[in-house]
Amino acid sequence: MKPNKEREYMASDYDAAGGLLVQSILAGDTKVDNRERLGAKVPIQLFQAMRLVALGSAMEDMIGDGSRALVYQAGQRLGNVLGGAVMPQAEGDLDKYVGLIQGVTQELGIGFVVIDKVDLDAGEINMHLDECVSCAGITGMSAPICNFEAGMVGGLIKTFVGRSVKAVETRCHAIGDKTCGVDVKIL
Amino acid sequence: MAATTVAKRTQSIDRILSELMSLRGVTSAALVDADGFVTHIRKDFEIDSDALGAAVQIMFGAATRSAQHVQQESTNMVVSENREGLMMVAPLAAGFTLALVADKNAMLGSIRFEVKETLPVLSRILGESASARG
Repeated sequence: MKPNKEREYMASDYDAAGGLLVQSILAGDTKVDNRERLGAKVPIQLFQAMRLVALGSAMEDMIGDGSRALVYQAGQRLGNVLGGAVMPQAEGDLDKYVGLIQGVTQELGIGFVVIDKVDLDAGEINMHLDECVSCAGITGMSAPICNFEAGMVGGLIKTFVGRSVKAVETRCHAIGDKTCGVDVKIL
Repeated sequence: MAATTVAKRTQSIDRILSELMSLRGVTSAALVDADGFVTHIRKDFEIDSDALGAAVQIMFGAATRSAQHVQQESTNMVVSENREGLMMVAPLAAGFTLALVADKNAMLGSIRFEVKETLPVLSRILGESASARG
């Protein structure tokens, strides 16, 4: 019984920490406790190491192709949390919602979110992310690598429309495109 | 791909999933694509399909990697026997997997037999669809 209890304990702690993090992000906190000398910012390479090694190649080593689903779901979870946090301010208005998301993603240095096409009747939303934090400076890859960001976009749209969505990265700086494109299909 | 072809394919898949659902104890039958999305599902109970799809791919991916580590080559099926039932996951064509959820009344042998019979049929449908997309 002990291992299960430990697992539940860890899950609730991560949830609680995630909640604190989102509150801090939305409050625009520029100071973080216990970072008096180093400050709140870290180099982009550290994020990319977390993203592409810890949540990339290491994960792939352990669960193979399952890592695609895991990384997407992780991004979708973040999108759900961020989307849920700004939803009340958006008052059901997609433009307002996107504006709020643009503010958060820019402030956090995730990138510049640009909407290319919205066709809610057809259930399609296309957007792109300039200066994407995951693949900036990365080149020569054989396929798009920003599955986490695609998941995050999926989670943001899913939260707004209240339906399942599938988001796919169609363009990526890592394969030579100028930006990262994400096409979202509302299911 | 023409809409009629897609509709026909969906109809065939739904029929196969319904047949699997008619097996004793089976409470859910789903197809999951390589990204962990549930593309087709038949179910007897409410289920978070996003979470199921990702969990299925992670479960199958972990088993596949484990098999490779012990030089047992490819993975044909993964079964998780749980306190309240079981889950069965098997690979299909084009990166898809078939996932079955069953309760305690399920007969593992009969489900395994039916799944083995069904896999080539589903793979053929999915393979044809992947070729048509080019």
